[in-house]
Amino acid sequence: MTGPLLRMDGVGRHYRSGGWLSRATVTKAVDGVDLTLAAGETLGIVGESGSGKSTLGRLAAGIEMPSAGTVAFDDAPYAPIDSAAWRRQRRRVQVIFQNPSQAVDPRLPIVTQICGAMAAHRIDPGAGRAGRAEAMLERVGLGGLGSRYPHQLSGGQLQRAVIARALALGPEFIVCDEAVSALDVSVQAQILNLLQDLQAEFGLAFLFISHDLGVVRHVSHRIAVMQRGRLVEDGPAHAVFDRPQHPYTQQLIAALPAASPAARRARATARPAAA
Amino acid sequence: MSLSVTENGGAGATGAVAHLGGATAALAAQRNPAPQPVLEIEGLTVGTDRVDLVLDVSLRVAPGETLCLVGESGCGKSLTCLAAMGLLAAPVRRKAGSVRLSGVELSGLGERRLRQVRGRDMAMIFQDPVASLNPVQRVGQQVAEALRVHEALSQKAASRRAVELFDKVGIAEPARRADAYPHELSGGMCQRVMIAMALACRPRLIVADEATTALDVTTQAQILRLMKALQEEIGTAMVFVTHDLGVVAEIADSVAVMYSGRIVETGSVDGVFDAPAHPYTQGLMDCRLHALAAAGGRLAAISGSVPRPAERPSGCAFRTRCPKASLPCERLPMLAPFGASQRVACHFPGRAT
Repeated sequence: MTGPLLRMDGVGRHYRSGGWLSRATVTKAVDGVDLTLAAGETLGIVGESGSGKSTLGRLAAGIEMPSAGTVAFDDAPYAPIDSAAWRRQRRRVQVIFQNPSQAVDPRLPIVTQICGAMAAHRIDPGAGRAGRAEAMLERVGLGGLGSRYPHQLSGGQLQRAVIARALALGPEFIVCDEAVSALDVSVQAQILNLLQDLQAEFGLAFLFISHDLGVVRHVSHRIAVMQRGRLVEDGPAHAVFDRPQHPYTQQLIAALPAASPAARRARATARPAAA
Repeated sequence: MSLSVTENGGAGATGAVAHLGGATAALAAQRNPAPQPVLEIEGLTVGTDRVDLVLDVSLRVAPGETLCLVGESGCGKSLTCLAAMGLLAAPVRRKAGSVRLSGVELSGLGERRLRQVRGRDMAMIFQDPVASLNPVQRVGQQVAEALRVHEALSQKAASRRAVELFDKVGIAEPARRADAYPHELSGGMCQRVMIAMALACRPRLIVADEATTALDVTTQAQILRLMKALQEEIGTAMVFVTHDLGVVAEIADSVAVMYSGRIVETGSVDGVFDAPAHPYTQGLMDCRLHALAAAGGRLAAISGSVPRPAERPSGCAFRTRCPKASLPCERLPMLAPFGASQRVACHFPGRAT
């Protein structure tokens, strides 16, 4: 493949509200975004709540259509939502959300849900399906727990199950929208390690959305900073954090909590009475 | 400068004081009970009839001191706070131990008496401000209500004071915002309202349970600075529950680490960060990620997850996840002094050398 796996050109997503009794207002959740993502690459998206990160993720995954510009996956624009072509594309693009308990059916064992996803895409019909589901669960560290129901798993285990379900379809691109934000640091580290291993193993591309700059730096090759729907800065992870160019990025980094009490004092001495 | 100095030069990590100096001060405050602690929890056990959720927890917070309570979810941090506030709800109850506020025993007080203390002498800030506010009452009135009840102010005086408080916690256009409903404000603004409400009666103790977890970093930094400044001004003691060690580094004077219902390590913030003694604390420190630290490589993760209270292993509860676990760990380790300022419950404390 020559071009990037994902390409966004001048992408905007505008929402209209009011307009019946009140004056219509247009909110530009995403506005004029250009970005590319190569196969096997991780692009981190950071920004505050309301900056349009999640909308950008939905556009990148093709579960929302842009109001302006184009989103192309593997050199072809996403087909209209719910069309047959769009459904075929679903297998190749997966999304992992923040709250795994809302991403699963509480009434079904997790292995059934993984098989269900495979059935929807006609993968490994027959007996092979259960075997593949079990192999995926094994791969994410849930071997032998397939018959458990969601309420019998911890938050970290459930997020692993969601990852196994996504993986079972053999995707090329996964959008992770705050995928580790709800987890404890120790479990978060387990999941981040798992995602990195899976990327190396299957050549997955990730769009990694998080408000946690530390997490994003750890997983990303490149980072894009969003503010009010626009990309204000992007570049290699170390460059964006070590030499931020845009004032907003500088502001975000200045607001980070100190790494240690000693670092806090050093900062207080360097910048007395920081406003 | 936004560093706190405790009233008695006690456990505060003060300004340019070297690590050793801070640690000694903390130790002195621990050994010498002369400055009466604002909050004193002793041998607190909380649970249901079937299972203990918080076990034998003892804590002390001096005036002007900030104690951070850290640990994974399900370790009993929030229950400890709720027990301190007398807010446990059946079937969970206090099974043993005592809670004293400035020397006054709170456990066993009736609900009527507790309601006079809560909001006036001690206040709590919860993680989700939007859920903690009344959605159908203007925010200014919610703050004024506390002042009318506890300080017997007139409606007019209370409203005026609420606006002053809004100004103090950094809400722009306080008079206009006081007339807003919670849904008209952002999460950060609602949390400022909660802080204004907590500060309204200048309490001796503020308990903040993940008060900044739901906020953006920039808002979080503002709120932390604000709480620190207000604490300096009125000398309030704070118990701050968080799972974010960055926040701990930012505001704590002392730290208590909880695991599966027990305190496994306590000490000055410098001591715990420089030389974490318990393998669990070490694990938490190792899986931290900071945007300004060079990235790459695999993260040190703590394997497994916190056991359910009913499935808590005998002896040291951490032994099922601990790299150092061996035979002695089947006996429950007691909290014992470690280094200059710390206490740790582990048979093999400190980093292996």
